[in-house]
Amino acid sequence: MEIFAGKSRVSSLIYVRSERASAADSHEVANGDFRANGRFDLCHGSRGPDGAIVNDILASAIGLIMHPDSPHPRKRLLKLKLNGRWREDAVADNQLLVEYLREVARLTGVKTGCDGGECGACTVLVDGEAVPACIMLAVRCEGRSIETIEGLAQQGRPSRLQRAFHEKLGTQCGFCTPGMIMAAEALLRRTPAPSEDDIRTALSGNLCRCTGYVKIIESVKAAAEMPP
Amino acid sequence: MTANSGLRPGVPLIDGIEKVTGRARYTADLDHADALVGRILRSPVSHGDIVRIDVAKARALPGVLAVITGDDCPFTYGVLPVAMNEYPMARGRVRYRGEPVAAVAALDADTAARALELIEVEVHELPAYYTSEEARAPNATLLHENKPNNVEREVHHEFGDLRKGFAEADLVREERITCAEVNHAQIEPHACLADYDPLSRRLTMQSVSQVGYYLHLMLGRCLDMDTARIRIIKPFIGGGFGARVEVLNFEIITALLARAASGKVMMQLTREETFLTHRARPQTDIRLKLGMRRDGRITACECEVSQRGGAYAGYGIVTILYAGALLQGLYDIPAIKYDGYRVYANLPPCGAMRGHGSVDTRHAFECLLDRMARELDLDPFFVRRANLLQAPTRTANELMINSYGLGDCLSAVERASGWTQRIGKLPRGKGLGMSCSHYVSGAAKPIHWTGEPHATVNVRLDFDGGVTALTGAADIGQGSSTMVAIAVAETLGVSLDRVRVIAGDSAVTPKDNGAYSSRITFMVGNAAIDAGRKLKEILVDAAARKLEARAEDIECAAETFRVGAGGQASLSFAEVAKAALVDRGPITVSGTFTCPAEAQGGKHRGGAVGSTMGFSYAAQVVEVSVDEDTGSISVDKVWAALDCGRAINPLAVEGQVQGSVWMGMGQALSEETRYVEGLPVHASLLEYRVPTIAESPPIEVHIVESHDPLGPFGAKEASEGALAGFAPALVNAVANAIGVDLDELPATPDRLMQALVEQRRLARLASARKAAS
Repeated sequence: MEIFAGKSRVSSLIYVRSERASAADSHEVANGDFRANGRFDLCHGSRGPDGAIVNDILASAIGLIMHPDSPHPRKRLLKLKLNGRWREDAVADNQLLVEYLREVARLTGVKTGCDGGECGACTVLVDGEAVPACIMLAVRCEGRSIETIEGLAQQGRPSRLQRAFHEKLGTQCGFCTPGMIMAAEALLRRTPAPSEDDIRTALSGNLCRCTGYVKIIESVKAAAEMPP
Repeated sequence: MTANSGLRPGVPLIDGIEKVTGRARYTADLDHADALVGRILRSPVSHGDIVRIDVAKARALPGVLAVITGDDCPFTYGVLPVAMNEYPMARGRVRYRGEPVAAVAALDADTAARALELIEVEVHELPAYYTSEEARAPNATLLHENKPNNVEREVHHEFGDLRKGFAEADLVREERITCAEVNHAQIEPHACLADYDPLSRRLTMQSVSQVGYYLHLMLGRCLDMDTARIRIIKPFIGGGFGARVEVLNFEIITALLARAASGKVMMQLTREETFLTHRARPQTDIRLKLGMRRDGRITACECEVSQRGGAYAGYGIVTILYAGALLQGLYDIPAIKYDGYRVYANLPPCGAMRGHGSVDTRHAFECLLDRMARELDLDPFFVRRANLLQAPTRTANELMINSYGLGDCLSAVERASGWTQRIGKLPRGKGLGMSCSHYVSGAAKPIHWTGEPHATVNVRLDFDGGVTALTGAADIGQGSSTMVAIAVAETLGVSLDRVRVIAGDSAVTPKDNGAYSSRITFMVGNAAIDAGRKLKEILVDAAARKLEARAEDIECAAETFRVGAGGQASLSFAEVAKAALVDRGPITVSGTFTCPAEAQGGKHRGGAVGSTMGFSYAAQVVEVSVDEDTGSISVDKVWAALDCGRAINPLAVEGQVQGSVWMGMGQALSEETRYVEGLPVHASLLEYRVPTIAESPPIEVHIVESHDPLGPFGAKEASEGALAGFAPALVNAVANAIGVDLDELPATPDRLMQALVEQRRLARLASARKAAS
């Protein structure tokens, strides 16, 4: 759990992280784990979208530990394709993809709902794969294609998933919606006619607190039946 | 005109496109490139006297523009005028780990973080208490000097003849049930953006509040500012569930920082801090005793509730009153005694959460009802039906009931789940359970007794022919703005897309009491209809003048005005709008709604709590599979029926029922906050186990329409009533599946295994005794 120290140094004043981690670990053992593996394992590092997430986090954490007082971490020029358009930006080595997307590219449809890798609200597509942008470094996207919710609509026409989530009420407060739709988009691209199980597996890393997921599943099913 | 003809089976949210395209701007998405970064320093100890706070080094750090502490705000804040015992930042004493003690505003996040590290805090530690029992112990140190035994509020109510009731019972049983503390866990972390202009001395606050009006009042109070100089704007809000009803410490702190720094401050709390801010459902111990006749009639109910409320008052008094008041209103019970204790402890303060106050006592009640039915060999549906109310009626504690669809709810889920054919015939490990619940459609007596209407909606019509509804009601995802649009469109007879809703900007929209206790549909809905009617009168008069007819002969449908239903001469909406503006110019009408005095509860102390214009009613059946080797419970399917009076937007009602049932499932199965010596060990969305899509069941919704005579188009609330029924239905289903009665929530695998071990031990004991005799 030390990995979060870099993101919430405020809290490090209050909590001894190792103490919290050990208490949390005993909680895991006591309670058993019925949580979907998709999300839980991500944090513990046994699975990542490209197998490199753990390294990203460690690199980020080490970067902060090594230069804790440096106000200007080393930057490099990052070139990537964002929603179909190439762009170049100077990006700090330790900048998370979610920070880059929200603060540099101003794509605020990418949401932050947690302190890292917990909720899936920041899910974007990296070379077509659904990835939580909060546990990936921006510099790892060099030369890659990133797609966010803002890139789905074509000439003002919402995508079929966007239409379905709107019409079927797959969105209530809407905060999880961009991440949810992006995770579903990745699913529909690789599995055009998904089963309900496919949908549940693909979206198991995305938390929603409003819908009970019922209408989210209906929305994805409806979108799959619409012409692309 | 018939209500919402043509709108069935419901419409998508009017702000849905913004949400699915990523265009919706939530607080953290607002442009804040020029804003300072706010951060809060929090107490490292659970309880202690502050000896010293030294901020000199933090102030001296380049890039720091403001450092504030409790010294900068000597005003308490809170939701109840009688119970404001909390400062935005601790003064003199800290009472929970994580309580704000200081805050900084700096040019960037790193500088703000370094500034916090430079603040020196010295605290003399005091004994701290983490359970109601410890806090109430005779020699415990008091958290608040004016509250002996650390009890914030005791409630003692008795209605009817309890002794007679228990004497008439064929079966009397008593149980102790415990429910863990849970949290709203709305997906959007807390955030706000405060902008103070030192020249005009005006403050603009954009925040996640469900009740902009409370925030407005409290900022005026805590900043000692004229409220006329404050503007509250509601961006899109990523869920509330009660978390944001009370004004929260970080909102006031951010405003104080903005004023201290003479500028704009963005405060974004981490998920961990969002959990620490808390204000959710308290850990609750319940002792419940019921009397029942052989025919299933409940004869008496005695209930004692103890809530561990955390370190400050918050909504506590209301929560402990609700827990007792809402024992009534669901069934016909001749005698009810209630003893409630709201206890202070050195933990983050609790508050209101979906199903406020009703959920844990309803859980205990419905579990015990089922166990007694089993003992008397009665079907759970039969027992509920034996105790139905007859509307219109008043409960023993004078709650008004004008519509009551619980019987239809029972029939709907009984039929849909195949209960009669399946109950008792499932293999071991599979079970069915059922339960009922209800909730208020808003409190009939508002917390702030101002004498103003309980809801106001303004509707504007201008030269462009657009109809704009202005409301202070906060749409937090529940679809309230869509409801307002439908109510205005239906009343006016115009298409839905002619109506634009502007919600939640104190400079533009009329004050609203806010998004809590499911009040918006009933109260704001009625106010919207009232405004629609007033505008329609003006339009009809204008049409009559133009068509040279009498106003009472003008018919209006589908945006066309004509004389008589089949009249030849007709005018379009745009023509009538133009005619209406002649001489008078742009039109604004104001619609209001006020709960009549007879709805506002009994005269006994605390009698206003629970009083409402109408209750929603719900019944549900839950089907489970229980794995006796691992102790895990999976929910296979839920059938839920809700009497919402009239579904103004059936699509949204379905969504609300599914969401509330599911939130009940989280509390029933996996969600609980946990503290080790006051240290939260749940404060992330990994440790705090919100169910994922993988373990969430299909939830089939049946809408029952009882047509409340006073509701807007007959409607009542739809967002909370079904929540409280889930947990007992689940626990009853587990009993049905494996014969184990669970007394603690959540029903985690370890608790179930413990209960199974106990069941096996008792079985061995019984067979050994049998062998011995």
